Amino acid sequence: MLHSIGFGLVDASILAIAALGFSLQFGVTNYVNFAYGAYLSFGAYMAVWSNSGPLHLSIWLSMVVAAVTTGMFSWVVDRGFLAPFIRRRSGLIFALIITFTLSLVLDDVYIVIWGTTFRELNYSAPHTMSVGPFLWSQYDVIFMACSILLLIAMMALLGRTRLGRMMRAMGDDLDLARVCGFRTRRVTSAVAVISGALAGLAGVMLAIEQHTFTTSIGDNVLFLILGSVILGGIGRPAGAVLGAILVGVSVQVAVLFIPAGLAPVLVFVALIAVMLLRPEGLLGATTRPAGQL
Amino acid sequence: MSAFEFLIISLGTFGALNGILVLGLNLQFGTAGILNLSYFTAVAVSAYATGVAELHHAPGGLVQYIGGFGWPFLPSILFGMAVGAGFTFLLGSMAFLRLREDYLGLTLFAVQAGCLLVVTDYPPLFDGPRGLVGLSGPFQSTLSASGFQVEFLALTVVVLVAVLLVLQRIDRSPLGRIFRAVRDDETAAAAVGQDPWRRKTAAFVIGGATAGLGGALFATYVGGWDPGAWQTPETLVLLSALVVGGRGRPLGALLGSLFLIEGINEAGLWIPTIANRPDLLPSLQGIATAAALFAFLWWRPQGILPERRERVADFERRRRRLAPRRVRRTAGATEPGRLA
Repeated sequence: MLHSIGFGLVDASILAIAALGFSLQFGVTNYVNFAYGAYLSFGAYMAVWSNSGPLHLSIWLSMVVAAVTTGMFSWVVDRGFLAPFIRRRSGLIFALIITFTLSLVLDDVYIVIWGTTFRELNYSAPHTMSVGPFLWSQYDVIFMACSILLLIAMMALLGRTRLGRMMRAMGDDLDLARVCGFRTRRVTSAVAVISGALAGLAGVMLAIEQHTFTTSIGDNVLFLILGSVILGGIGRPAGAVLGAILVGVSVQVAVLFIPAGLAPVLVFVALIAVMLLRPEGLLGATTRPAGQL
Repeated sequence: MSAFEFLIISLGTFGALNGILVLGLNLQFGTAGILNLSYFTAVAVSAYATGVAELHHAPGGLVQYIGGFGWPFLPSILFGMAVGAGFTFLLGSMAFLRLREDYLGLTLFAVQAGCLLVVTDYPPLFDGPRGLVGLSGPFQSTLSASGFQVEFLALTVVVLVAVLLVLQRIDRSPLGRIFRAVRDDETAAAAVGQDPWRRKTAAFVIGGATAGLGGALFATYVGGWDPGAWQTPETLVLLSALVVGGRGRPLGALLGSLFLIEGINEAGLWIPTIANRPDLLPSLQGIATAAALFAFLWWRPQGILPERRERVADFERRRRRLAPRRVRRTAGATEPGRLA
């Protein structure tokens, strides 16, 4: 049982990093970016390219490369595609359709470029260590440390920097933020880069965790990411991490009691319950997205 | 029947089936404004329900699924439709209580993703990735293969026409106007006495029943149903057809499904395998579908056949039909207070 909690915490760390990025994007721009799963996949494949490809970088450098390139990719997609579209056809429904379609297009593009074969990363074999009652590999420990550091960094960004204040203001009321003179397009670009980088990082970690993967690696966890973010509360970094911990640990622990295939049902039920009973999440959302009554 | 004839007939059948499905989504999204990203999940639920109604009890061993009643064609179809409509009702009634717009989209997306995960990874339900096989259409055992193809084509075309007429009727009726009113301005509709929850749920369920009908027919036509048939992109294909053809107008939706879905499917048949990669074609088709959607959203979001805007002339015509003008009395008749 304790081992399961340990594994759950590792899953939770990866989910948390992804959820931090997703929550930031949703909290500031107020629309769901369904293409987020595609960014995770992008990160994993960027790591493959730098790790197994011509550059032969170490796995740690590859993680950095993945984060940076995915951040750039996310910026390009936002600047070149999403932002113009949303400016032209504003309205939440359009934003949802566009990002939903974008996620599927990116999936198809990945298949065209990289094919459907399973990929692997090159890294030294993980050795499992006993840390207290838990069984973790050196990668697991690094992932967890990363997620804690990134949580602190995100809270510092939002709470203590000028950029963070502008992000929170935009999330609350976009027009008012513009009236106050904030450069909303720049902030949106910054959000795209940061959330993209987090997605890329999480994607590589996921790839390491799963050993072999294909282009759909990101989409498979999108459901869990959504669950974490909604459970914890939109726009709050601590909420995203709390949600991720709850989802990650409960999925691993639940496998002990119910058949593995039914674990998503748990997340499902929790999601529906939160939606109906407390849509703002456990810690409360910082913004009131249009979706709430 | 030659291969070419078979091709044409099956294209026609798939065209009709997709048409039925698009009409259901049109009611939910086009008319009532509910972006239902989990539309194909309802289709799948009905397909599976039809399957477990038609098939006999699971033979055990490696093949497992719930149910297995062994019913004939028609009761199975009706059962599938009912289950699909019931699922849609449950989902919609819960979701519309507290959620709007992006949270609603998010929840429906999550429902679709979650259902896929559960059904694929939990074989006792519907045999997981293998899915149900061995479904059959009406009189399939007594007809030849080509006879069955022709029969099913006729069946689906008849059903399509019926569904089109019914949904057009709803679209032009007061109920359709209420759906559009709730879509355009929920607060205003509530202010004049419409309960948005009831109306949205009603539109959702009627659309879901249509999805169910389509799903049931689909499953019995292809003879089976597995998770590969209802992956996430399927709803996108229907959505694209809707946006391209004309959102909110049943005929437009049908047009979109014919042009876009059939067109892209058919184009795929004529393209030879590219660079020894057979997996490339579905992806290119997906990109083409999405490109069409983006193009139309950018330049013409109302689609080829836009929604009919009600004009004063329509209103006048309806008023005259419902309350014929009474013959005026001739001048000079006694009417208190009236000058000559």
